[in-house]
Amino acid sequence: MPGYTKEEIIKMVKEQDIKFIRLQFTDIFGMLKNVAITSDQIEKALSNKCMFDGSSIEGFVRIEESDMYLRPDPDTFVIFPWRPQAGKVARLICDVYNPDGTPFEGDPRYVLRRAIKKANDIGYSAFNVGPECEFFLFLTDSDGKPTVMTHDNAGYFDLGPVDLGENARREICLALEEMGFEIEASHHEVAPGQHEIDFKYEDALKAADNIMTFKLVVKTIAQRNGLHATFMPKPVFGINGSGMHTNVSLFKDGRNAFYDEGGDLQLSQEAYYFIGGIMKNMKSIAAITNPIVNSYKRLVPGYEAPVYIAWSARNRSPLIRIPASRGLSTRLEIRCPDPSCNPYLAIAAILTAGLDGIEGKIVPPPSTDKNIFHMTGAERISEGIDALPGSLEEAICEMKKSDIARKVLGSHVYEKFVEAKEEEWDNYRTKISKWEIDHYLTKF
Amino acid sequence: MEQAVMDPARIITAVGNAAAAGKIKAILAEHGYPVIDNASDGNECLRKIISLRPDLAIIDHGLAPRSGYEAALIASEDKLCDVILLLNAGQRDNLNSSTTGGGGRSSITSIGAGSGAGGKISGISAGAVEDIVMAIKPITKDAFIRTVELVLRNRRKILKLEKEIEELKTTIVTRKEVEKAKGLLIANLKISEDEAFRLIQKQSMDRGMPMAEVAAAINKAYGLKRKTATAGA
Repeated sequence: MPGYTKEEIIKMVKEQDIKFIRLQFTDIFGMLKNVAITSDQIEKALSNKCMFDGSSIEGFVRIEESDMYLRPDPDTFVIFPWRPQAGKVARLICDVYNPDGTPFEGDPRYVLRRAIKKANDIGYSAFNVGPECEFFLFLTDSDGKPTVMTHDNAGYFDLGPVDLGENARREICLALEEMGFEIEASHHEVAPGQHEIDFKYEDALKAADNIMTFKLVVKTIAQRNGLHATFMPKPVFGINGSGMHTNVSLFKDGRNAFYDEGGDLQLSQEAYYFIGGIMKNMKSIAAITNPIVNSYKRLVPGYEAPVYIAWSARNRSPLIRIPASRGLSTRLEIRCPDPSCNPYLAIAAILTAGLDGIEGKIVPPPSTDKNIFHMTGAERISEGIDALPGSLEEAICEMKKSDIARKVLGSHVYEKFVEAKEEEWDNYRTKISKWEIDHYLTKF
Repeated sequence: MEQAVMDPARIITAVGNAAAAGKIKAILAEHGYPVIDNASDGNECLRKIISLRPDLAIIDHGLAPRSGYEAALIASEDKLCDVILLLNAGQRDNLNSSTTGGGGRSSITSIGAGSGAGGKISGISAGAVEDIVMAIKPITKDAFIRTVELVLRNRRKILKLEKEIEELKTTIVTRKEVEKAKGLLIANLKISEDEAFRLIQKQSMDRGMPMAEVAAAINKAYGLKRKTATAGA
């Protein structure tokens, strides 16, 4: 997507007959928020004069300090490709600022900007991120509520030649392309009703923006197809969950810093330190990359999701995989994040964890090329293979044990995040689940 | 109507009330229009339209949870099929007041029987999408069938016109390419215009390739030759 100047945007709004502009930002928990303005207000918005009530956003601020300003990022101007007849709608992604003109600490986009700046300060020009987002398309029932039924197993459309899921996914890809995405792959996934769309890597900030846009497009187009799209990490027991494998690479002076022709596996020392940093810190940032109760129902053995903290250039089961391509496209694939995460915070956390490895010269343990799921507990212990947290509760504990999360998020976001996640866990813990009823009600 | 029997249109209905859906189906069947399926909520309606690709969807406005109007809008915006929206006068007034407020530029055609309109086109009102035909309830059997016939006839007409436009576009492209190729052949091979045309035609037949493609290949080849010639010089 090309960068636009303020004047160009004003001109486009006029020429393309755009009716509304959505000023978008993301809350701490990864929910997309927006303030809709009419086209008359575009100049005011682009002069950073648009205000909103920050106290109405979860995790932002108290009521006494509620005025916040939105500063639209002109590079993010895009016209939504759907509903052209009812008046076009465009969007701008915004940074959130305090009334005194300083960036708001609780804005996830600022958290990521800060992490990127840190990388720039120690000499890295870019952190590229390529996400692989999975999701499910489900049918809705006659009340409009989403079900966990998919077109694949619903069976009641045997007459129709069209696979609704495939059809919706094709439309999603077309809409994304119209919005400037470069789609690299789009396919049906392992589980029934599960789909994956991969788009081209971008620098970290743009990649996070893209993930937010992607989720919006998927949900919108699915709805227009009478379907419900969900990014819930594990909607159905017994089949694969949805992950968001994240491919990352660091650049220095136009070179891929992870590539070294003469290095072991053609990886540079920096790449190894980065792996070391991720492995050391993964447990402490798991609550950021896998932030909901349900995230940990995906991270169990048997479904291609990682459970153990290990790396490999060969097998696909560990946390970090090194895809075969080298040179400029040398990269690490971090396999635990899921699409329920806040992409700004998750990418910032991964970057900071990796840089911690580079700065501390943390040498990772040797790679694990065996299938870890086939190893016994004793074998894992002897090889020194640790596991990811087993629940949100464990993840929060791990997060509190180390200072890396606070370093990434900043005190404001960290406090709000921990508080909200502890509440979420407590809420879940005290509820009686269907499993308990099924197992105990008749037994005792 | 005879045409309808010869070339039966595929119709689906989306009516929540099963008795009403049955009645509509019976009326349509009586006139030779088969209803291939009925949907009882707005989402199911969209899924069935996408999956069964009917010519016409007759959608009741009073669907839940997504209103029939919304489903009709999406179906017509995405050009999935033609739509007749069934609604009563109150629902129509509500829609009109909410859509004109938003500066609706196009129109909804409403057709009604019942209160005074007597089966005639009761008026064209401002709304959101011009392709949705509204039938105002209560509607007589006659007016209803006439509306269905009108929509289907228009649909056939539009499809035919679209096809013609497509063909004309191809003709223009072919002609452009062939003219250019002919010119190049005449200049380079020192042959007559007829011979040049015959040459292209023969190639097209021998290779089983459309003339436009043969001509395009000739143009590309000469273009390349010229480029290499200038590069060489």
